[in-house]
Amino acid sequence: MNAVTFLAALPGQRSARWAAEAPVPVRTIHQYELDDAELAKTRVLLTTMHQDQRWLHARRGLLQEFISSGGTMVFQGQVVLSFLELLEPFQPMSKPTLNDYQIEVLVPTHPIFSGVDPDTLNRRRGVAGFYARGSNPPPTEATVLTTLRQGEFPVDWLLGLGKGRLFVHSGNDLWTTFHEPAENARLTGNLLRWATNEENDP
Amino acid sequence: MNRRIAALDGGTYYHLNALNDSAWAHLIDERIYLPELAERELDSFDVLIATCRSNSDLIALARKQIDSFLEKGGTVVAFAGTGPERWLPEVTPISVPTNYWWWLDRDADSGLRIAAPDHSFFQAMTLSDCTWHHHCRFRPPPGAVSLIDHTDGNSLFYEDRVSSRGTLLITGLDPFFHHGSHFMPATTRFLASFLPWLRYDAPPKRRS
Repeated sequence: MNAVTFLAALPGQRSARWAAEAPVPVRTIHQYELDDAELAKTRVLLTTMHQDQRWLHARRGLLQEFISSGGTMVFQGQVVLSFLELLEPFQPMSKPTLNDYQIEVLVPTHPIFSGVDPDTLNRRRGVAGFYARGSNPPPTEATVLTTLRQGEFPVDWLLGLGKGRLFVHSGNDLWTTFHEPAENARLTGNLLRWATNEENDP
Repeated sequence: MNRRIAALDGGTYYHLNALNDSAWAHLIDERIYLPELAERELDSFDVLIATCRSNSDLIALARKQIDSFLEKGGTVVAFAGTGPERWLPEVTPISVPTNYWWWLDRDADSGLRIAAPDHSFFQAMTLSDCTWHHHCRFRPPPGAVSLIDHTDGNSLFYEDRVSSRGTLLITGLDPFFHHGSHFMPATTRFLASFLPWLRYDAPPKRRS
């Protein structure tokens, strides 16, 4: 069984550097190859901010079943179509100040953010917003890991769903967060190790 | 002039947001779902917009329809990340390092210059509406008209009415991506001006 299945959406994502260098095996398929046979081969489904949400929405029953029966789904980007029942549309921060972009890590011990300096997550050279600029609103039972605007906008959150798990990142693909490839590799590695280790939460 | 406009919808959050913005949604007659493009005829439209980062693997599958659309005088607009060199004639992209920071300098200069001040494009747009970071510039073929040049001699936005019977508008800008990501006000101004220009004020179709 393959550990992680990544749904590539853009031509360059078929042979992405982060996938080749990941600490766990990543199997990349094209998003339009996603079906029940593909889902049966994997425990972890990894999406990109460039995903076709019309395609996901048309397969919402499959995705719901995949998670309920024990799969882990990682969503990145801004929700427009509710391809899982609990998802609501992305809310951008209105009129953000530079301070509003500061990421607060609420659970610093969580393995996804281990060794990551929150001050560097959303800023490069004093310019903010590379990581996230708003929130995919979590349901009340979710565990919120990071926020924007002093706690007002949840950015990263986790939810147990049936026997499975959903991790939502309300921003750009995690492997594009930093200027330095090594820093992106660490954050992406953290995410993939968490996703393939079903012992650790929530 | 009231041109019928079709735009590619890859189902991404930024396409869904930007194509359906109530400020200009009425200017777009149809959103063609990208995986269905290869089965679509385009002849009922005057303009086809390849929205930012539409997957060029899928657009290239429709090359025959696009050739026929151009042959009949259609206009194709290709935004950044759509790999137009794979599915339009005579397109030469020049990859450039992205400068996110040009505006931080004391004497900020984007390097962009209006190259065709008398073009009707600039009756609708200002250079500032077209100024944010970009990932790609182009070397236009002989006979094409650059609308926006970079000081390095390449074009950020050009019009080509010589490489086909139709019109190509090629740019390294990505306004649908940024407006659809709720980011960067210049991209909102760009779309608010560009789409009405495209629909009502573009040069007439050339038929021969």
